[in-house]
Amino acid sequence: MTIATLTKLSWRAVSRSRVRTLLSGAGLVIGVLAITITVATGEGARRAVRGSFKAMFGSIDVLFVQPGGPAQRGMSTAADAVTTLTPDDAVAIASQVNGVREVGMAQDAPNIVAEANGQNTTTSLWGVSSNWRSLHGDSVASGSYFQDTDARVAVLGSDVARVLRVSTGQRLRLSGIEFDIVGVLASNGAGPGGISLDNIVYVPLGTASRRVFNKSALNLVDVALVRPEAWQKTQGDVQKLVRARHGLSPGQIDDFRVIAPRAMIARIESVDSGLAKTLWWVGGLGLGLGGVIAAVLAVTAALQRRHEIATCRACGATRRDILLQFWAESVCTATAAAVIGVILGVGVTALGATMMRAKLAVDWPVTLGAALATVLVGALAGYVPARRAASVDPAIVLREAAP
Amino acid sequence: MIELQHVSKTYSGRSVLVKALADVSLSIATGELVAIVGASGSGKSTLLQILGCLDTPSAGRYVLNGTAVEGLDDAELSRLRNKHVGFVFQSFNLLPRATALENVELPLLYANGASPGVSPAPLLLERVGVAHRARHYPAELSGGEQQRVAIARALVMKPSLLLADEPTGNLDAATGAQVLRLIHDLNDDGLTVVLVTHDPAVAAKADRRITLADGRIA
Repeated sequence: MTIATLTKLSWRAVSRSRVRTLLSGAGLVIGVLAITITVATGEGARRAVRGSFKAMFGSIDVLFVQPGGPAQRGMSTAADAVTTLTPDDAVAIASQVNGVREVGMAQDAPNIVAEANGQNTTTSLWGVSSNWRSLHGDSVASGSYFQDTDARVAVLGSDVARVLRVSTGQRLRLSGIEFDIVGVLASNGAGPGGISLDNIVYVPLGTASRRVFNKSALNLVDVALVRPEAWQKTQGDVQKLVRARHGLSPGQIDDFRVIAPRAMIARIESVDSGLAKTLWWVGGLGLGLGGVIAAVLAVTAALQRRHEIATCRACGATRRDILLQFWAESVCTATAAAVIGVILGVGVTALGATMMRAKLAVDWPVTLGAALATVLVGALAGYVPARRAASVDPAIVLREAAP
Repeated sequence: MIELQHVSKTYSGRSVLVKALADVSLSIATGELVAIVGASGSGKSTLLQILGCLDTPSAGRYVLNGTAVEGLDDAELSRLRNKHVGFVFQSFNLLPRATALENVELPLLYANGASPGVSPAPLLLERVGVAHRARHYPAELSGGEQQRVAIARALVMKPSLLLADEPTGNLDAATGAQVLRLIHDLNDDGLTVVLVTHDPAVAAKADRRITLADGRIA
């Protein structure tokens, strides 16, 4: 029997026995659907986490050094009393640690009142080194970034400019001190936890140190890496250097922290992996169960269709023809289930992505792999019933029907 | 055309051996119309199945169109059946999910290239008088129409032998007579026909009558 004939016969049987096909394929559809959604959800969450970190820090291939020991929680700010991280530490990291491309320095305070045009808002104020913009990959929407470290100039996040209704060339007051607005940044969206990255004002580090915060200690040193994949080694080297500079003896706990975004992402992703594992099980179980249901229904069909088989044999079908015919029906059903499962899976993922305003994150290799696995499960489930159909003795069946 | 020499057929039941045919010898010439008659359980259907290569003798020799059947494997028997034999059953045995046309074309699908290039099925449906029902499913056809479709299917490979097992058994008298007339017409065209029947009137119209009793030719 030719492939074309086989396909024609199988498709005819599958398409004209809709209830049986639906029942046989339902489990397999659920399996592919679950796997597609699981992988898309996992991939979507991964992309979201990485995206928000990237938006906040410009890159995930950096290290952050903050004052305060490991016991201190949260981000330290200029308002904190901890003053263990100095500009000299940053310079030493840049010049003495192998694998460091450059460092950025920052002081910040979270709740600074900004005023302009009779409007006011509460924003984060950051005093940063002039390389901060390039380190973070921020885009300037209008005006320019500052190069001078001591001028009373400010670059505004897009939210601040919008709320205060100001633009480049105008002035604003920060904690009562006047600054010239030299630039407005393009929107960066939301960072981890959904916080706005555009409610921010940058001023030169020297100006912030002397005029706003009145101290030289840093709240953050941003360390850009030459080889991102070697972040663990560089993290250790930075830790060693700063401990030595701070005169910490062995056994004494650090008065600073070296944080790697990659490690933070791994921790967040590990929380999601429990759910992902469960969904993988659901997908696998769906496929397995679908295979069993398909096999049972195929055996039942082989028993119910004994007269049909006997008629085909009387018309010249060999046992092999019957085996191939029934087997192809199972493969055909599984293929249809795989296609429907993928379409539904991608559809549900697209719907979810639209509702959550996220990018579609279908992992096509895994999704197509799941579809292929479905066809294989269908083929495996259909083989034994097909053999059973092929073993039907037409002489016995037709004799039973004879008067 | 058909040569049976000392053919026996024994089935193994649950605890006993059932002898369906015992030492049957007969010859049927090309173009003959032979009726096989006998009581229920006399071995008529078994004989028909052996003649149609659906079953093989337990002992004895069967030669169809010069081919000795014993020793042939499943594929060879199937090929022989597909090429040389057409079956017509009492309960029509049409595939329920195939249209009349698709049912007629069924043997062509198993012909492995031996089938003619252009399907003769539409012409055959026309010949048996149900061309207008080609796209209908068996459930939408009357008994007489179903049996006509079954006859068209039996003829689609241009077989040399038509085996009919009670072809009028499920039909009313008028429709049965029409179907029988069709079979006689085919025989008149040279087709060899072996007909199993309970009906003495049907048997009476055959060229020859073979009576079976307890698996033997009476």
